[in-house]
Amino acid sequence: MANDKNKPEYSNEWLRILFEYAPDAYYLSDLEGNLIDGNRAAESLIGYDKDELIGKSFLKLDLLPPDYIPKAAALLTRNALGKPTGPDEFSLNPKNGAPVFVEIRTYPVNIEGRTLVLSIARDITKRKKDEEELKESAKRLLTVIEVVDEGITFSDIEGHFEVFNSKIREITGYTKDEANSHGDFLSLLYPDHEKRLQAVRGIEEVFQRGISGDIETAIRAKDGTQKTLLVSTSLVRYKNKDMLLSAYRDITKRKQMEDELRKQREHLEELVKERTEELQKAYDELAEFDKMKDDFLATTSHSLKTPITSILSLTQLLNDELSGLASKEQKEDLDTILKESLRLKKLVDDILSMYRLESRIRLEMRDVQLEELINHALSAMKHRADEKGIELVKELHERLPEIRASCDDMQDVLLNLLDNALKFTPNGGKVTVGAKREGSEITAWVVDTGIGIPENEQVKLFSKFSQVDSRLSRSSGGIGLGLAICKKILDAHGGSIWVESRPGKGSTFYFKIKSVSQ
Amino acid sequence: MAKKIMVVDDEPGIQRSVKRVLEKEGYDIVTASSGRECLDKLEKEHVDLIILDIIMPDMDGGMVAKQIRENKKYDDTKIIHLSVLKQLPGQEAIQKKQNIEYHIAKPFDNKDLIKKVKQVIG
Repeated sequence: MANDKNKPEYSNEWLRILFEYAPDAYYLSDLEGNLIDGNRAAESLIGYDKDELIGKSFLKLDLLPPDYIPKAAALLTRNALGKPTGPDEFSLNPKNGAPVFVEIRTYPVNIEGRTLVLSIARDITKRKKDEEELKESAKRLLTVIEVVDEGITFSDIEGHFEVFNSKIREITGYTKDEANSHGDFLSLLYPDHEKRLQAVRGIEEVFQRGISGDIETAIRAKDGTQKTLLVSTSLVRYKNKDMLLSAYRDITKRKQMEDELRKQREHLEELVKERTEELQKAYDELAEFDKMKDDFLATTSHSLKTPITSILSLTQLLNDELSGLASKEQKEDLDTILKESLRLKKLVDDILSMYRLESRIRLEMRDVQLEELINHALSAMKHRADEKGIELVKELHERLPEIRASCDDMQDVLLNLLDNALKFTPNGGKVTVGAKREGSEITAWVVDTGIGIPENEQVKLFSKFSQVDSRLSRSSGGIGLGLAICKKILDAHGGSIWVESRPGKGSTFYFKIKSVSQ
Repeated sequence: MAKKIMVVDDEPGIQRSVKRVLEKEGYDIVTASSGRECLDKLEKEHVDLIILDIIMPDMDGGMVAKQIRENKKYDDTKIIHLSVLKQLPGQEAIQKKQNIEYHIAKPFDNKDLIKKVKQVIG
């Protein structure tokens, strides 16, 4: 050493300082273990003064627990053969205090012609304790993993399981060794090729994204039963390797219950569907029947029009041609034929109107002045009023807003109401038609000085084929469908119609319809 | 010379009543019971007005009117429809295009029929 010029020359004192203050404990002994020297760390490690130890053998002090004495003797033997040892772990009993763990290396050294032993001891008590604690906590964790009510596995990419807890053993029926030794555990769980591919794809997905959500998967357990699991897997970096940590929940029972529920629900739906179809069929048949009835009425009414046309036209012609030539009786006969033909025509027209209104054919609506319709109806009825000497009065004191209406139909309402009023008002009476604005609506009325209608009959008035009094209807040609048509028309316009009447005091028919907003 | 009117209707009763009402007004009346007969007769004699039913078994009145209007020869022949059907929405435009003067609903009023015929051919 001294001959190496690149190295500094160490004085004894310098070396002494290095020895004394080294952080590890240095013990110099002979081959029997008798202490020759030690440094400060050596003193503080075991709590003895150097003076107390020098000249005494390790093997004979209380320092070494009896268990370790043969081990220590063995080291010295190796040193005697010129070989270093260690590191070896020892437990030491310091003079005062708890045992310490040390890691000891020994070197045979030649000093002044003698073979001595340099033992370097490092205090590893803390490390040892940490390791113990780590082991303990790992054991605790494993216990938890083992008893938790959820299947847990921890495996590498090749499918070698480090953890295969009791729940997953219970679910699959396989032990960890069986799983690890099979080589292709997936094919055991997924005998079906397609399902196996699906599982593999699921695992690949975890590698790509680091985690998978809850994936439902059906496996085949060792006993052959099908089980449905909910699996979630995370990719974990462990000891420089990618590992898969998976948690499994057995939802087989839940799944079965869901299936059962679904089957029952489907069955119920099926039943409901059947019943609905039956009802629909019955309804369709009824609707079909209703339509047949309506179609029959419509066709018949159209067919009736042809003979009525000839009868009316030729009777009118005869009436004109025979005026002056026929007897009074003959003239009255012709007159009756004409009137009855007109009544028949009206009935056919009413049936057709009813058919049209009930079949919900869209009405042709436009904006119109109600007054125009009133004027037209009055002029159409003037001749009949004059014949009976009835005074026709218009009662309108303001300019009305327009209404949105089917003109022909609203005209029919007024004509029907006026027709009835004239029919039931005795000769020399009075019929009044009026209208006024009421907010956003218009109310119109037709007042007669006729026989009036008893209250209990009033409600029936607007239903089809109602007749207040058969004697009355016979004498005046019947009410027929007129008011029912009026009600249908006002319904179709979003309006309303009603009557106020007292027997002997005449009747007032009102109708109300929305005006066009301005 | 009296104006000539052809009454086209498959119903003899209608034919007779229209013929009687208009003859009384001094018109010359010929009748046809079908669309085919109407077109055949038109080839042989000139008429001033055709009173044309719509619902007929062989060819409906609309089709007859269309064929008449496609022939320039009949440009000065007027047409009035007479039908149990009211004029339907949409029909109006077609009839206007075919130069139909009136659509009269059956049953008609004698005076109204006479008035309209006079309006069309005097």
